[in-house]
Amino acid sequence: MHDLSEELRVLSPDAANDASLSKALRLEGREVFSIRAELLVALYVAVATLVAGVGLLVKANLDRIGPVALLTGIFTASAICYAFALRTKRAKRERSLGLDYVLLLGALLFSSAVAYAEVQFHLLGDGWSRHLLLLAAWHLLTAYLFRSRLLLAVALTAFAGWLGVEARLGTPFDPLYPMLGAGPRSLLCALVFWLGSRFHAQERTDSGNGFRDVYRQFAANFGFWGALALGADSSTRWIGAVTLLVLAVVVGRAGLVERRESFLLYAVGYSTIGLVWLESLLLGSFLFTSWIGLFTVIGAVMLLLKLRARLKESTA
Amino acid sequence: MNIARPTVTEERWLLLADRYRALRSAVEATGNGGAWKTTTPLGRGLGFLLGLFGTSFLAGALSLFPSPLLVGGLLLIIAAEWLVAKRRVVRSGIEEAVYLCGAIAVAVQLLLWSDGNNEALGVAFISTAVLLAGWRLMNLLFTTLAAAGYSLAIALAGGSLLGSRMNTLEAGIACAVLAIVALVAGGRQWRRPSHDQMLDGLVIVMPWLAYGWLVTYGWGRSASIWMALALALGFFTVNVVVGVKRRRHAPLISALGSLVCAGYALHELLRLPLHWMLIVDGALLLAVAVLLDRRLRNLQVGVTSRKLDESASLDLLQLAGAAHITPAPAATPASVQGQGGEFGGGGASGRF
Repeated sequence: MHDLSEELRVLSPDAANDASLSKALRLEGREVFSIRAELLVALYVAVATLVAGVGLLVKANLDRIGPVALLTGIFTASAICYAFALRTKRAKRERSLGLDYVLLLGALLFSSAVAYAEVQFHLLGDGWSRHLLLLAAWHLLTAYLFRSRLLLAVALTAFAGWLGVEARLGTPFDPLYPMLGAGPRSLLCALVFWLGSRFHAQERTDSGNGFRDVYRQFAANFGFWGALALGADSSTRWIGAVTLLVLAVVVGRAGLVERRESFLLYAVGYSTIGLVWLESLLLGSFLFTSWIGLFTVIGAVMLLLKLRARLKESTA
Repeated sequence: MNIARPTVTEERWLLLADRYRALRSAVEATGNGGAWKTTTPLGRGLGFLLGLFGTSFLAGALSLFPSPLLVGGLLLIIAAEWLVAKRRVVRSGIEEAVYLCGAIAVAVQLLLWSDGNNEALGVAFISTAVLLAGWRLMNLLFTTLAAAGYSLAIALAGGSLLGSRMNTLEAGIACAVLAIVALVAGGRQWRRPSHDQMLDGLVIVMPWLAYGWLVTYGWGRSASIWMALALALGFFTVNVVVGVKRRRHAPLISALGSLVCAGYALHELLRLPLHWMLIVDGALLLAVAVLLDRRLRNLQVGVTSRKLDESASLDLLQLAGAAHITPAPAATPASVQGQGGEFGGGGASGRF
């Protein structure tokens, strides 16, 4: 164990905020101890496990139980989860962390049921993919109704899914719809999400707790994925490179202005990946690419250290 | 010879500034943290990634040199030492990745020269290199990785103390003993926080490894699975008690992993269909977590589930996690394929 109370007592109460200092002293003395992070992990694992179990149940018992019974069961479970959140809202109580994840479970079960119903009954016919748009709209509505960042993340991912972009690692290089291009779709998503963030312009930029932050995080990531996807295609390589550069400057600048380290990291990380990728495509020679790549990474490291120092200065 | 690293006092002040953002300016104004530069977990992650990128490019650049692993490894170690000594970076991720790769490269080159065929010795040698890098940079990930490597070396060793083909059991026992020793040692006050964190790494991972080796030892035999279940439940109980009593995160994190191990062992023993196991386990875990949160969230003293600090990394992880388990779009909905959905997609992917 280690205890930093000794150092905290040295701090002058004039220099440090009194409330923050006494809170820190209570934390160091183990007078108060939060297991929020552990509960978060447990809740996430529980929801993921449950939803995976439901998916396997559908697969294993489709013939035995039948689609109607399965759908009824999943919709009922989802409704129960929503009901918990609704009850808390009606009672005008703040939703707890646990209920946040119960609500997320409800949304995911609802998505499962709708997707299953679409596959089973072809409700939307040739326009089957619109069920994702409907789901996105539903999740967006419930996100605002319950004021849930997790549901907003689900809604934005469902919307991106409708546009044909999977929010998973590596998909920029393996688009679902290569003919239409993942790059423009990702960039369109980024634009829509950025516009969404404009509706929350009044929120504090450095809080990281509101809807604005969710929209902007998604916009930044989808924007960079789009630029990388454009760069991966030989016909749009240079458009991708320029887009990546512009995005890196814009997002990096926003990171400095709004004091958001994550934006700085996206700017440096994605642009390094893009630059190295471009170099390997253009240079061809393994040895030459390695040397140029090495210098690129060294440059990125130097830039990262410099940007961190500037961020620290601006937060000081 | 003086090794460039923060002194005990500097390390404590640096940790204080990192731990309490509201006090950072006041802490830094004291100047007790020296000229060292630290970063956030997100920044450290990107730094580590860039370090790995740089290392792989250096490997490519030196591929035509004689003894590229030794030359590259030494260059990497010198670069990492320069970063620490001159740029005064600590826990930035960059110097950690570079040092780790350098130490492993040198160890592998020496092993190649020795022309030995003893796998266990080779693994132990590489683990020692990782341990030295971990000790040098006071990195809990490396020291834990080294301990895991030593357990692998025991499992690969030709001879065995407990009889033939008992190596994996010995590896499991070694991990369990190490976990208990780390748990006991973690009870004393450590001046240098990084020493405490190194013990935390062992407290978290060693029980899981012990379970893993035990399952490997008696693959498919119910007696062995019962033993593994007892071990997982034993570590779960001990870690929960110790974690709550000492008010420490590491034993509680370890207990969460032990719970997953116990769930898997139960699945092996009961042979229930996987979907029912997942649904029952998930529902139970959700119910327990929700009830715990409900009971603890209003407590102002003692163990609570209230948010006590602002963690941007945790907020981002939650968003990424929610996005990850959101249904993925299907390419075509033409027919039912019986895939059951991806893990986390819960069959909502439309790929039934």
